[in-house]
Amino acid sequence: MNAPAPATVEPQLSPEAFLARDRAAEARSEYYAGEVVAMAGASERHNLLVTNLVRLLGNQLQGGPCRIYASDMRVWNPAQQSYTFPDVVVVCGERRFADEQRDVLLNPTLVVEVLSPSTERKDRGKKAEGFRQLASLQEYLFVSQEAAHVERYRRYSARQWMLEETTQDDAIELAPAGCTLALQELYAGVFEEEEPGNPSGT
Amino acid sequence: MSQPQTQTESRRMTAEEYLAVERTSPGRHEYVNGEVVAMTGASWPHVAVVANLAVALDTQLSPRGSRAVTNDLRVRIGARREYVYPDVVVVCGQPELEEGVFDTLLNPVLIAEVLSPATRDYDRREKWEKYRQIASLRDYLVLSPERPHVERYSRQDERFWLFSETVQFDAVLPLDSVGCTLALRDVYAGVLDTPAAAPRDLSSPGTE
Repeated sequence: MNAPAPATVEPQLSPEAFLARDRAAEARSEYYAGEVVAMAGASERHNLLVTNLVRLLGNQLQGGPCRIYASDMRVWNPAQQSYTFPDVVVVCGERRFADEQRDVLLNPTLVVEVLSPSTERKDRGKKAEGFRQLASLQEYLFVSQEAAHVERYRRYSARQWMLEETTQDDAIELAPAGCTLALQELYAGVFEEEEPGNPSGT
Repeated sequence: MSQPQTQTESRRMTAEEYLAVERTSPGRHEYVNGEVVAMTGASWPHVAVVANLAVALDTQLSPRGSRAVTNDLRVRIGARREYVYPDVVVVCGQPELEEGVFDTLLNPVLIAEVLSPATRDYDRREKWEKYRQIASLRDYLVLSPERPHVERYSRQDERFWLFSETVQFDAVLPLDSVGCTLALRDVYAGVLDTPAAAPRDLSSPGTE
């Protein structure tokens, strides 16, 4: 996810009050059982990885039963009482939303988090714990922005997940969405800090 | 693990320099990514859970010639020669030790880390990623000292690890890789004895 501002201390909000406020707010926040965490911008690499993910998955999902949302789709987790914004969300088949505004998704099939130093702790901890509680979720991915490295957790049973990690030139299969993600394509251009063909960057 | 002071005391050395210094050092340090990281003390819940876990495992293991030991044993990770002190390490049968100097283990079968707020991120991310390179490793456990919560990664083959988490105070984990069972009640004895009365969250705001 994008970098949250450091531990915002606010009075406890109910989920309903948070949602009403967040829908009207200009900047997004996440919500964990009363705790509101503001979200800030993200690095270039983070942005490029999300863009590449959407392009690569989007091309494969086009015309099928799956939909893909980047960065701006809220996911509600009733067990955790949380609203989160995963970096990428895929839902296959029927989409279920909290209400007719269709901006709170209830049944993601796949979520992807591009890890950032400032949020990795929360992404791997509380946020992932919340993902695992969603009965609809079949896979979640952690994508590194430090090196070509993806961890895929695939649901194995109600309480078990299979971790597979992929590095460098390998590809990772996203079975519930019927997609393949080649790491070379996912990381294309991500580590180039200069303009292509213009090494001085001017 | 105990708290590493990444900010204040890290400095760069070769693996040989680190080992030479570490073997005569009064304090413990880990050696990760070319950096020497000092370890400090830990909280009571942390050390109590570490002790409970080691006792629970060692009681079952030692009659069979295997051992569970706590965080004074250095473990070497991989060909890059990084060195850490996991909270609890299980060795089945003969320990393999580096270079005939019997203080650095090469073949742990199970590693367990008990989280503390300061090291949560470091443990969960960097060390677990490195532990996966240890060919002998079959199980990796991450325990919360604040609530009944055990995360377990169990090796399936070269690439796959089965992840499961247990949050029930009454649960008993079968650890097939080391032929043990682990009752959360034993792990948290004296730390979280009455789950209903246990504080919901002892961590400071923003931790996990």
